[in-house]
Amino acid sequence: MSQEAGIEATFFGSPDYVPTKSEGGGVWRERQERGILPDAQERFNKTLEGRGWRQITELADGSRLPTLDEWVELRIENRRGTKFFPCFVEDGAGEVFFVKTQAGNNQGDLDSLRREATILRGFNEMGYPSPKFYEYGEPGEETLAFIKLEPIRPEQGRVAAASEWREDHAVEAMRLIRQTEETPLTNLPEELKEMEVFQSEIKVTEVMTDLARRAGKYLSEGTKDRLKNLAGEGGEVRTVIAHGDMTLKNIVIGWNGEVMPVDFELAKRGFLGQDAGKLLTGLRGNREVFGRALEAYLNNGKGEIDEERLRALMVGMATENLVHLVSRVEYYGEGMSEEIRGEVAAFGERVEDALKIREAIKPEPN
Amino acid sequence: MAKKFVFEPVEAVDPLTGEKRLLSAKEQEEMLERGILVSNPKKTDRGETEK
Repeated sequence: MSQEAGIEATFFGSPDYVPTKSEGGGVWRERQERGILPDAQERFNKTLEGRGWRQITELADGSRLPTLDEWVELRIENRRGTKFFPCFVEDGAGEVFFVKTQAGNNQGDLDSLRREATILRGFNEMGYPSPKFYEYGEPGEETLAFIKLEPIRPEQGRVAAASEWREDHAVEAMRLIRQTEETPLTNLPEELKEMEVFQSEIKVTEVMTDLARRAGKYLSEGTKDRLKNLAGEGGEVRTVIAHGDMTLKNIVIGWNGEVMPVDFELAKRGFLGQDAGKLLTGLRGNREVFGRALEAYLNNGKGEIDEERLRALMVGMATENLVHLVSRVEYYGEGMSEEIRGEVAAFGERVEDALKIREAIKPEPN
Repeated sequence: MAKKFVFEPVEAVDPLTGEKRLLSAKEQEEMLERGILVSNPKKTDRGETEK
């Protein structure tokens, strides 16, 4: 995989990403276009029946959960991704589990599900606070592929907006990110070490420099020069174990300050500051918590700023926003709408913000 | 094809505030996607949940 494809997969590889120019045209036609198996529901029923499980469709509060076919329809109507679907099942003993299943026949999606299963098993083994992994099921002629996990109970916590995050959540999340970054890659379980995503090494400063060039007129020459200086200040940013998609939507937080990342599809050998940068980007609307999170990530334990992390973080934050900016510039070109133009400008401002934060913490030498 | 499914807003105890509040359709969908149950399954004769 090229570096460029690598960095784009980092940010756009989520199952919810749908190409913006796809055309609608009836649920059934779109089901077919998206590669959803016509008998997906029957296959899912057989997958469950073969194991003595049944899908839970009713909750204690009277609400009803969608069947697989209903999930497909819901996602298509809402212009969302249809790679995987979430269901809850109970086994013969009444134990409840979370099952993520594939309703289509795309080989790439199947590989992604297998990869996530392996990653989850490995992260469980390392003691990472991820949901407990139980089983991966291969698809058969009449059954679907799935992964079976521990469900998160409603009283355990929920995904929250930036405004709802507390300082203790931010500190705990950054402690976890630092701890993961400090786990040597040699400590990975063998099956993770063998995976390509934990072997390929991303050169993020090179990617950042290339993206800044490709931003063209949508990034000022002054900003490009500052990014060049940032890239030239040190060597390549260290590669570390990363969750890969540490957005607020992928973190469950609890009343007692618990932090549990979910969705490990994009876990990989990433770069220092990658997860922290993504989380901070999400928290930027909550200034107090943002500041506390930044401090928690950058404190080297002796009350000093960890210079390596500071630089890496800013490279990561700038790169993430450059990816979004450049992908729009190259996709829409000069014909971009006012709305897209506004988004491009906003991503450019966030690149500026990253540079400003760094310069505020560590003034540039004259 | 099953009948069109639409989430109805449901009242649930918020684990972050301890207070009851309405969960929007979007919120419910996002929770379920991440393996978070909106509410505990209905208790019945079979095991802990309805047959």
